[in-house]
Parts: sequence; structure tokens; C-alpha cells
Amino acid sequence: MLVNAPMLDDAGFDAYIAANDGLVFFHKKLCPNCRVLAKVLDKCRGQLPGLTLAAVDTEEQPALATRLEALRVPTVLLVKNGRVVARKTGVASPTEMIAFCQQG
Amino acid sequence: MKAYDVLIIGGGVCGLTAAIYAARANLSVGIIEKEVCGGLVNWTHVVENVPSYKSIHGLDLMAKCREHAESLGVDLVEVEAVTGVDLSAELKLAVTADETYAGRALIVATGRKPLALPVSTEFENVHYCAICDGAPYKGKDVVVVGGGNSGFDESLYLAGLGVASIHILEVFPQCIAAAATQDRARRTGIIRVDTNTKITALDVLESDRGRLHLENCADGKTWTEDCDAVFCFIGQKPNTDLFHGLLDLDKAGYIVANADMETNVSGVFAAGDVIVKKYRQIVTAMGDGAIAALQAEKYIRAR
Repeated sequence: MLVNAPMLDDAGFDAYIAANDGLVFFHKKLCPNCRVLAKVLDKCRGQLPGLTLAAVDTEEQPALATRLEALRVPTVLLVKNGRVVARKTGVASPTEMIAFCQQG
Repeated sequence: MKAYDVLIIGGGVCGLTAAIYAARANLSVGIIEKEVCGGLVNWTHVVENVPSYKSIHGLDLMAKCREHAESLGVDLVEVEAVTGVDLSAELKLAVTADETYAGRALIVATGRKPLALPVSTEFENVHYCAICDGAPYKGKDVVVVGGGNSGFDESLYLAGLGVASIHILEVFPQCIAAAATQDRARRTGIIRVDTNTKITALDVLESDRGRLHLENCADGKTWTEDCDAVFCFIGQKPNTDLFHGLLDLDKAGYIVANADMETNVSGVFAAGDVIVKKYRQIVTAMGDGAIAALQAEKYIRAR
């Protein structure tokens, strides 16, 4: 759904966020709001060079989605220094998502 | 400014069909879509009434429509909302936060948007998309408001997720969902339906569950029912805020267009769910889109 974003699984998630600040996008393949937010995130990437994106398919990784309380999709986690510092569930505009990325 | 022969506002099935027809007439075409192309069909779990597909997910159907339009060179501008239009000059303009778009002809295919639950509530578990929000309710009790195709279709999806029970509430005396879909829902054994039932209030309980206050519209009887979530599919309203005072609208806000999809403004066409019509189906939206594009081509060639 997201172009050029690594797909994370339960085994690799903690190591990934320990090494990468940025956004992790929880989605489902057939979720219409996820399609919208994926396009929004693509647009944000154009406006925030260096923004790091990764993704989790919650149907393929239900344990990870449950552990991170991201069963509702789309959910975006903002990760910094190996920790989840903010989360947002539902559709957002590019302006809202850029503001979300720039907090903290 | 980006200029096209045909500018289309709205990338649902109507707008995409119009784009395909216009592009095949060798016209340059741009679609501006505030979300992603696909419109309300994207929200339909299973589509079973489009000839050539016995059964297809709405997102998959619209991905094919989108690919078709893109293959013909249609410019798709997504997650960009039109904030204003100028229909007064020969060139029709649509303005977004990022750009001004122009068309020698404009096709309005903005469709409709879902209506919100008609009661004010602090209950957080009110949702409008079973695929997006249904997963946390496995083993729990949900209420679905609306007995149309969307209400039953989304109920079947929730049933597949493993919710414990689904209670569909319909305010009118009968559910209007397709009979085959209603039969399939009832066969699940966990879906029950009450017609003539309206919600008068929705409270939050200490347990974080919700308490619905219900009323039978026929005999006035009232009662309460507790649930873990409410999914609302009670219909749509037209996306015509941009056109008040510019295009002729009916009392409900739908655009008045003739059989050739012409509006009261020369060079502006309207098609699909957004116009005054009796039947709003995928195939009727496609038909409207085709007519609007053909008529727009005729309009452009004549000038």
C-alpha cells in the first residue's frame, strides 16, 4: 500500500524502531481509509524529505497490532528513540499529518 | 494553473467512467479527488450487481477502473480538496489549497457522503466502516444502524470477524437491502433485525459499553439495549456545498441535471449520485458518467 516502506513483523518491530525514528503505518489491504491515509503519507513524504515510513499489515501481524493497540486502522505511530511517542487513528489531511510528524 | 479539456471533480465510479470516455475522445482530462479515487464503492465490501463480476470487492473494482483511466492518460489528482469554483467564464475553474485547475468543460461527479448518527453522544465506539474499525469487537455485541445494502453488507463483514451478536436497527417499516443479502445475513444466526426502530439517545456506561435508548416508531414503546459498539450506515447526503448559488439544486441539495447531464450553467455537467434521480447504483453512475463525457465532448467540439 505504501511505496518504498519496509513491512514490519512482530519479531522485527522493536529492533526497527530502536534504529529508526519516523512513522509506522498500521493498515489492512481492503480498508478504504487506509488507502486514503497511504496517499496522504506519500504526499507528506514529498513535503518532509527524510521522513521515514514503515508499515504493518494488521491482518498478517495480528499479535503486533494487538500488542501496540492498533487493531483499528488506519493507525499511525510516531516513534522516536525507540519509543512510541504519539499515535493517530483515522484519516487525516496532509496538513494534519505533517503537524503530527513535527510534534515532540 | 493546470488546464484540461475536461475537468472532473470527484473520482468515484461516475467520474472515472466520464474520464475514460473523454480520454478516448482524445480530450485531455483531469480528475480532482479529495480522498482517493473510488468514491463510495471503495466502502462496499462486496459488489455483486455489476455485470461481468459475479462478486468483487469494491476496492478491487475501483482499482480496475482507476487503472483503466490512468492507462488512457487521465491525470488523477488525489487527497486534494476543491475549496472553490468559478463557473462564470468560458474556462471553468476549481481551486484547491495547492493549485488552480481549469477545464473547457466541467463535470461535477462529487457523489454523496455518509450521514452521521442522528443523536449527540459521548460514546466513542461509534463507527462508519466495519473493515477499518471492526477488529476490536471480536466476541462482542454490536448494533448496526441502517437496514440498507450498506448496513447488511457491513454486518456480514462483522459477522465474519467473529463478533458475538449483531442487531440491525431500521427506522422504516422494511429494510431495503437486497433480499439475497438479507437472507444471507439471517442465515449467520447471529444477526437479528428490528424495523420501525429509532435511536433516541446513546449513553456511555461505566463499563465503557454504550446504552441505546430505542423507540418503536409504530407503537411508541421504548426500551434500552447495551452494546460494545455502534456502526452507522443510514444513508448519504450530496456533496454539493461548493455549488450552492451556482447550480440549480433541489431541496435536498442534489444538482438538477437534464437527461444529457447538463446543468443550468453552459459547459457544466453533473452526473452520478450527486444529481436528482431515483436510482443510485454503480451502473447508473457509470451510465451518467458516459453521457456527461459524450455531451461535454459535443459541447467542446462545437465551440
